[in-house]
Amino acid sequence: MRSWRCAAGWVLGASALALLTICWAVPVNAQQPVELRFMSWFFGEDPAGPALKSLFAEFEKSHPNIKVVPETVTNAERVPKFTTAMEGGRGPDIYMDTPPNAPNLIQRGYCVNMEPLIKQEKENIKSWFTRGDLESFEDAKGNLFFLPYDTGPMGLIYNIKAFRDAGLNPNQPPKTWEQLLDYAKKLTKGDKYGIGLFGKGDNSSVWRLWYWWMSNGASVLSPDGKHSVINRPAFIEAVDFWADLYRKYHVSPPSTPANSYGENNQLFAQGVVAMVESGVWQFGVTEQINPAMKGNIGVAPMPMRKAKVAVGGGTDANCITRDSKHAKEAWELLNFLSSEQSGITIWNIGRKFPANVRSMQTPKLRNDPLVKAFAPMIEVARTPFTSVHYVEITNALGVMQQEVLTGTKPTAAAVKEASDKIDAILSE
Amino acid sequence: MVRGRARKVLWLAAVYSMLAVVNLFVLFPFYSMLVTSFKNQASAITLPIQWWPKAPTFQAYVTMWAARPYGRYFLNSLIVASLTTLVSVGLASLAGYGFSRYRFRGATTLLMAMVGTQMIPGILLLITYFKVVSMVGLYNSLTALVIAYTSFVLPFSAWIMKGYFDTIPMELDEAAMIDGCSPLATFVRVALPVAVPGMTATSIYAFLLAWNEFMFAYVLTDSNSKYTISVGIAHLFGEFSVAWNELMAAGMVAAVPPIVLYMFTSRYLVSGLTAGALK
Repeated sequence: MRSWRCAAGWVLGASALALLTICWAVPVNAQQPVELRFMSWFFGEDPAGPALKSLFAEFEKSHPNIKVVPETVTNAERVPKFTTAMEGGRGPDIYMDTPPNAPNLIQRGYCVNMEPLIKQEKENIKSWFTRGDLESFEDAKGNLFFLPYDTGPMGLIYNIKAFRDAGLNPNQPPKTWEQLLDYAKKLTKGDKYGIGLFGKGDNSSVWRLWYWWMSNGASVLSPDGKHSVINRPAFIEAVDFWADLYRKYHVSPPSTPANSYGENNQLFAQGVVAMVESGVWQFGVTEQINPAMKGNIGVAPMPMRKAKVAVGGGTDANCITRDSKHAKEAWELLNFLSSEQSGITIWNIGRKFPANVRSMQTPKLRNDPLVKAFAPMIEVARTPFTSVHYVEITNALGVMQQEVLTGTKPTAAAVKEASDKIDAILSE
Repeated sequence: MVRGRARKVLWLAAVYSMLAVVNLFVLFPFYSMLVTSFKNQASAITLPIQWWPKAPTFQAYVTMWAARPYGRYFLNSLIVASLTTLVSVGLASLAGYGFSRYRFRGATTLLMAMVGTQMIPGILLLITYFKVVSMVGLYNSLTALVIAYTSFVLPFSAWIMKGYFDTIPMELDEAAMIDGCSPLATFVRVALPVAVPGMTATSIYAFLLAWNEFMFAYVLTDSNSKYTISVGIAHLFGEFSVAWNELMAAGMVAAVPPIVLYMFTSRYLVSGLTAGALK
């Protein structure tokens, strides 16, 4: 009797446990959506974060089986957090970054090759983007690893009132280097300066110097990316012209060798400098510092020399990481985020230009004055070079920039030294 | 006599002038931080710099608390720093007492090896910590931070405590043992009460390290509910702009607990750190 009871107890217990397991496991598996962990600094930024989150909400509505989980990183420390997570085997499904960091992350194998995913699509997805945006996120064989999300070429941002006060027509901004110098001279008076050069030697400053040599037909690296080609007349001439705006003509403030993004934001917003090289974000930043500048900011392509170019200043793109167990769903999301339809939200809420050029041609966007102003720059915007040694090369160019500005070395000597350093870096 | 006094006055004047300069150098950034926290966003970055705000306001403090859960960050930091302090001081006292009172083979080597771990840059351990923490399911938890910080603090703390116990005469321990105390009771009832200055110095060291640390807290946590104050503040650095007044207000608030701790315990700090330095 006792053993019978015991056996019955065991059977009952086992049945209850099995039933519980079935009840618990089956519906959960059936209902639980796929979670996509999306790592970006945008979630801590306004208005870029709300725009991205609004797109997530839209995507989740049409894909009820997918849930996007934002993971916030800080803008400055995003790479250490991402690389640690990847090395620790706990990387997110999707990671956002910009051209300077992309080659290194691609080389480390953190991001998956998107070519097979692109080939599966009926439409040629690459045709959505400019060549400049795509090449920033490709490997040496031309395989794409990041899908561009937004873009931001840099142009000449100027103070309309300062132009008028100096007797210049704000509707006719300078178109050549010579005109730029002429305008800068006219805008320089007392403690006001024609242009705010970025001379600090940091990434932001070197990035802005790019335009000058690109416009003069020079490059940093040889086409195979193995040698420095800066020690050439076109490059030296461009750097000399740029530095002379400060050294010889004094149309940039005395603090130029210490000025970068933060400093020039203030100087421009407070009317101390009348022109800066910047992107669409400059409008929001300037108005935040000095609300009186609203409606007083003009934009034009940077004055041209030999080549019609613009520097890509802020392309953000997303990659699917090798740790992702939901690559298919992640691809669906990225496809949606970079689509023509999402581009409208990226501009309307996020105030960034969508990387998808078709979005820019939609009636909702093409008539926007800022879109109109920047559109020609987006077409020709390029990242001057991509290299896994981006940081070291930028540092070498930053030292050169400082030496030239402060007169520590003649331009040719400083450029030669930087060129030798870059060659040494590349030969490692 | 008069000449000697004049020389002394001159010497003192020189010393105090030097100290004043050093103080100015140390306190100026703090002053700048304080003043900026009372400015609005526009005047915080106005040129020329306003050394005193034209219209002082608490707006940055209000905005800061409203915009982000600083109360939570603050509490997290307090929990992590307090627990790190408790655990590390407890373990360091035991270790320090052991090294000071017991002679065993390899004691010096072991002590040197422990202190030697301090020579390894912490950043090199980040990925390993991350892997271990993820593996045991402690990712995004305050426990992970307490464990990590304790491991950073413990070797040096044990060294400080060993130095302090060395200054306490062995006769005290022997007297307690003659009165019937076990080794543990001797440690708890006799050695520990005398070692309070050493423990205080260790506490300050542990608390400050845990309170200020950024990179591990940033990498090992992943949500507002687990961020510490240093991670919360780092999120104020935007891609295109920085709210300097809020940043400084948050910095001021974050500086309060270490300052208060230091004010109450500073008298123990020097004696605790230098004990055992001279024999």
